[in-house]
Amino acid sequence: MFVAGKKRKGHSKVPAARSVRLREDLSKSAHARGSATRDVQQREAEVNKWYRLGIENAREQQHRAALDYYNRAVALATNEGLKMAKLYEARSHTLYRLGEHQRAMVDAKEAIHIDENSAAGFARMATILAATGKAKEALAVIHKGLETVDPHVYGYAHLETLRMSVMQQLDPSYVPAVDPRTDPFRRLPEELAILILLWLDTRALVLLRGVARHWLSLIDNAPALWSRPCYASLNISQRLTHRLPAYTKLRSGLQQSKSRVPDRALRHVFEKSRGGLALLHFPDGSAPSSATLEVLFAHRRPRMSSVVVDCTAVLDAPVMHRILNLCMSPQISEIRLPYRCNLNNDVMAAIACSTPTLRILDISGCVNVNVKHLFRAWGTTLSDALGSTMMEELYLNDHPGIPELLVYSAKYSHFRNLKVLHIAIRDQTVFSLFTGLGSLFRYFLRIPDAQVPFPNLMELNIDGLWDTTISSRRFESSQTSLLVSRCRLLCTGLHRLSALESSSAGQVALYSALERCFSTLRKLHLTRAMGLSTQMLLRLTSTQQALPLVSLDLSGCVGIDAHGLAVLVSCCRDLVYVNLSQTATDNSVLSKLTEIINMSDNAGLEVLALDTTDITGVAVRDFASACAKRYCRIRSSGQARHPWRLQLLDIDNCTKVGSDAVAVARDMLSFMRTRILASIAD
Amino acid sequence: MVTLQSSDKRDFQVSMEVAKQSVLIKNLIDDLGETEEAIPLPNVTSKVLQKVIEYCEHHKHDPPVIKDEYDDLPKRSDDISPWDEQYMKVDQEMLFEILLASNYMDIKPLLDLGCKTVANMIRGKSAEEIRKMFNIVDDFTPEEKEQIKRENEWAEAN
Repeated sequence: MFVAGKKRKGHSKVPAARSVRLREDLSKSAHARGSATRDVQQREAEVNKWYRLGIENAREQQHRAALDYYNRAVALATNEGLKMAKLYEARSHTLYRLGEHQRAMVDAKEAIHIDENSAAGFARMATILAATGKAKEALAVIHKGLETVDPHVYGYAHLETLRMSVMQQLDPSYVPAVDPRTDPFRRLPEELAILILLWLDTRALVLLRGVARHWLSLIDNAPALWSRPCYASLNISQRLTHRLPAYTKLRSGLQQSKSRVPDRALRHVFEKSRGGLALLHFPDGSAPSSATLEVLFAHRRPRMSSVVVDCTAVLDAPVMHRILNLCMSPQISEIRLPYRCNLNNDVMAAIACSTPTLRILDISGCVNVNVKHLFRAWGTTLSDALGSTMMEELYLNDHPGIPELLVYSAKYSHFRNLKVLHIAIRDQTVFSLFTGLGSLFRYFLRIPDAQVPFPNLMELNIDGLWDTTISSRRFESSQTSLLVSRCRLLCTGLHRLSALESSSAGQVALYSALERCFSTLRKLHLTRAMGLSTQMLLRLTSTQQALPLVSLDLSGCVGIDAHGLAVLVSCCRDLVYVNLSQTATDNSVLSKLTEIINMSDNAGLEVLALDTTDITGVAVRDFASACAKRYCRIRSSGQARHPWRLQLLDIDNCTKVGSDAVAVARDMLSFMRTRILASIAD
Repeated sequence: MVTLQSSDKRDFQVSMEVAKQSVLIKNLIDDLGETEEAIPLPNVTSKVLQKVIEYCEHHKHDPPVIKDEYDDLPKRSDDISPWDEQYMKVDQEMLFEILLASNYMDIKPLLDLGCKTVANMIRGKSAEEIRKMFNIVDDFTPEEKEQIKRENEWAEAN
């Protein structure tokens, strides 16, 4: 042990001394290397100086002096590749200016020799050759240059123009072909570029960022483009399904779009909009994190007026809390938070107090918001003399408070200004949440001067309210439908009425309701209404010459015979969407619809669904040929502002339409890309 | 009748209702009253002005556009009428000239039509196709490309 220790001691001494020497050596050599690099640096600085001076002199047309400086720089510069090429290019230019073509040529060749991307070198050679009358050789040099030089290099475009002038020298009649393809965003000022981009949706915009640098910077630096996040291409099919029930059928056959807007994309949009966002929209299936919201809150948001959270967007509690805080701001005019259980009476009261100009409110399915409180909350913000709020659109679908809303609205005029009211019931279990209907009804009857609750209503959606498919809850649903009939909900001047699944609506209720608004309706969607009879329809149409109906859906109304339907259809000249599936529709009705197609001065039918009806192949063929003729007529005249075409023809399950008729119809409609739904039972 | 003068000093006689579709000219006439003198349009060449007048002639009876209050669908650019479509079948340079002129003369429907046409040219194409169509040089470095590709991933899926 001892020996080893001693040994170790002795051993450690020697290296210590050696290491000192070593360190000295090292520092010496480092010093030497340092001076060497300093030398190089010094020389480089000097080369740069001469080069710069040369350029300055050349710019001031002092070519002699410039040449002198360049000569010094070239003499000093060692093989530094690209730098050297630049020097030769510059000197070649000066020599050319001084008329020393031979020497200029040598320098240009030297530049190309060092750097094959030297566009200037090629250009110089070509100019000299062209100036000395050797145009053909000049052209060869240019072509070689265009081949070898990288197109991204500065000066490549100059070679192109040079080529044209040399070509002209060779052949005076040569007209250069102007490239017709111009980059619109270089050609047009930025404001116009943005106007163009505004026609594209977010997804298309994102893809355009990858075209080129200036496209990227243009798109990223225009908050106007990002302030209106519309994920149009993502949910357009969903909107279509909503608008055209017949489209659902079409859609179910196609593969559902799996793409969802990821959090990343939302953050991207928030960042780009720089606080200029007017509409905050969390689309279906998005799950924004707190970090994403932070990006949004990093900017002031003076313009935000709408907050929309689609019902399947996933929000955790803190995120929801922040969004609710966002809603409580005076410039907010639209709030859509359907199916959010975290909304309660206190939150609603706070929102009511802080948003005096709220116009659109969607709290469908928010079961924790009590309608009584809704009235109480908005009671503090009544604005005009009649004591009504500014609310114009209220969506209260699938909400247990629907009966209360109707009864209280008959007494209080909080929501007199409503133009749109949606109280549809799609989820039948909501009926079981309706409680105390008996006493509510008695209360309603005691209101002395029960007024029309919504006198300015233009759109009413009561899908499913007139439905009694759940037998165990028969009492609640029948009481509700009675309430709807008694409340005079369907006022005069109503434009759009949707009452799907109205199987329990009684004859009297239906007639008294429709009588008031039938002459003004643009949209009538009343399906499975057993109470709707031929006599009623004939009486409703007897006083009318023409009805403004555009969209008509009477599918499943089996109480109307073909004559009634034909009379109704012949009154409506503006029909665009018609669904008469599962009705008594026969050829007489279809021939009336064919007449509509034949008229030249109307919009023309675009969707026709006649699923499970008694029509035959002959009538279908007539209809298809009328459509084809109209299409050709409009195309050739070029008069129409909007091009018309038949989009959908549904003749599924029509047993009297043979496969030959379907084939003929397909043939005639194929060139206007009509979708035809037809399965032939054989 | 109103006389419009293009940048190359050619005069065009048009009726009042045609001329007034340009808000620029409408405001001029409203402010100054009707004049015999030609209204100079120094930013529009005769070739382009002729084309613009052709559009205004065709659309002189159009009713003013009414906005549907409850139409919340995004703006559609596929509803160009056949005549307009035919009218817009010009080379790219002319298309851009029309855009600039309609912006300068403040003819909203024509400006919209032009913007829609360009937007339709761009829509649904890959970056490479657009570069080819407009003769644009791809000036991104490979690293930048990778970065953009990562950012755009969600939009490219299906």
